[in-house]
Amino acid sequence: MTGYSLEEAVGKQAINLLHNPDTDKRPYDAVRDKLMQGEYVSFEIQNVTKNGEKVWLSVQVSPTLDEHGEVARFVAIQTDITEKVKAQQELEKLSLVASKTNNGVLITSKDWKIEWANDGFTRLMGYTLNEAVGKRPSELLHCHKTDKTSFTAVEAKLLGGEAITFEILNTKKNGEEVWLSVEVTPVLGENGEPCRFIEVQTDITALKKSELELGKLAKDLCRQNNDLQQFNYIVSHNLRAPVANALGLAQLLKKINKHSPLYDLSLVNLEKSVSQLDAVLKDMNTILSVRDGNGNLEHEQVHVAAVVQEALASLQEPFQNCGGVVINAVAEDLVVRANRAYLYSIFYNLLSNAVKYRAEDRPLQVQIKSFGSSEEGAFISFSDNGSGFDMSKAKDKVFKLYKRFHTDRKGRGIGLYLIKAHLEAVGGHIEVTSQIGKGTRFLIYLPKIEHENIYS
Amino acid sequence: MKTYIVDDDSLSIFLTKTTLMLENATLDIKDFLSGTEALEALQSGGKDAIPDILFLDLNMPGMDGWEFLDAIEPLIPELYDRCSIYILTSSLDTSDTVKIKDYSIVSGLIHKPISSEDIELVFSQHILSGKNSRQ
Repeated sequence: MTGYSLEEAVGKQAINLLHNPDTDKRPYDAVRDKLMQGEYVSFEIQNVTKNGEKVWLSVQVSPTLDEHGEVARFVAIQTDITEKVKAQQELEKLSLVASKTNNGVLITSKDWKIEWANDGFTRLMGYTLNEAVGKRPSELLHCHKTDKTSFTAVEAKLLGGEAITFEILNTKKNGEEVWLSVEVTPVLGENGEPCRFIEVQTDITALKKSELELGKLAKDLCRQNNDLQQFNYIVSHNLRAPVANALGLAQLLKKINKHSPLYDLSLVNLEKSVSQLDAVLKDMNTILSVRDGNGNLEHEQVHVAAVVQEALASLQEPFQNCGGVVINAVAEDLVVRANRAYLYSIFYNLLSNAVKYRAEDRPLQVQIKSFGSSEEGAFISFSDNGSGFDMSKAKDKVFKLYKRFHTDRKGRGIGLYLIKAHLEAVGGHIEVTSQIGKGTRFLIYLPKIEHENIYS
Repeated sequence: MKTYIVDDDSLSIFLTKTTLMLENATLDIKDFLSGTEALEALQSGGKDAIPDILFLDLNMPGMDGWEFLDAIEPLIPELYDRCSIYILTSSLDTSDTVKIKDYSIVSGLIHKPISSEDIELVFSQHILSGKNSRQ
């Protein structure tokens, strides 16, 4: 312990051997008189080993008395308590820092029960030390919006003895939501396993909010950029095509005989081109009116079955003309959060597509079903036995503007694009599966009634 | 001279055809409303079906112009010395001009509407290139 051998130590005074100029002799001086009177004493003192290392010793000295009652010998038992003293000093330093900091600091047992909390924790979360002690942070601070996955993702690391950091949404005593960055350091026991956790919480609500806002902004920007690209596409392809035709026909008219049948035909075609140009401009207007509403769109509670009925009523004639049958199995009480006009337009488009792309060799049959509920969000499926299309060829183009997959039917390639835009505007989405000669199935998802909002 | 027009827009076909005929009334013009139709004609007709000039639209439903070019890949050894292919598109997309460089069979790109000057250039280029469908 001290580094001195018996030979080296014999005949030396313990004080001369082990003390150095830095040694604080006061603990010894305080008990010296007692000792000289023959009493048992105990003190802690910092000594120096032979090789100059400082060592904290707990010293127990028992004086042995001779037959005259005089002190004859001392038996001193020294115990090395350097580690213990260091740990205590650390804890004192830590709690000094911890009680002053604005961060919340918790010390918990290995099963997460709070043993100690600093003032910062009370200021941050509203709970006093007394209220917190014995509770787990999770039962005290979590709410239904708390997503624990950020913690569970790193939990194993913590149990392995490493410090972890995660971000989590908690609630204060007054119910206010607060985003915390939490750093947990395990205190390891002698067996190498965590026996305590020290948890430091930092309020990052402001940061998190601006982060989420930024994310939303980026998403909006991305969408607007997509819109712009789509717009660019419309201008370069669909607007340009009838303009090119009109331009060419006008040049042609100058060159041909005014009294020839070719002249009349060219004139008719010129008019057609200009009408097509007008149709594209009207499409653009429709598309922009969907897009304008995005974000501040009127959301209302809509009875799905009623809107399906409405769409079916306006398509009664085309269905009758082709001998088509609709099996409507939409739950009567299904209510979704959407825009009624959009929902109508979606159903109308899907049903009129079913008529348009029916198979010629069999009577059209459309099945409309609903799944889910108003609380969880609803799925509505439209399945037909129509001509279908090749999924591998269509790939991601199905819902793109002015993309068409049937060369033998009329269409401008705008219907499915509008459906997708409408659904996205109300927070839903659409998927499609199809098989040539078998039919097509569209699956619509509509969000639940209560839309959760992080800012609410 | 045998000429094919591949375009899904019948108005555009009318315009291209009439403009071509005004420049050269002796042309033998065939039109196809889709890439698939034109491909079938080329595949089943043998050497006799190969035109001198083929005007190809890009933006078509089903098989578009690029897909048509990919589909005729196996026929290129026969087409190369006989046929000049020109992209005839209403699109002003500059990326198309870059993309045609990947297709050696494509002789050039023309923006619609086709003009008399375009037609003159196409025919003089075709003759200069030494390509000839009657080889």
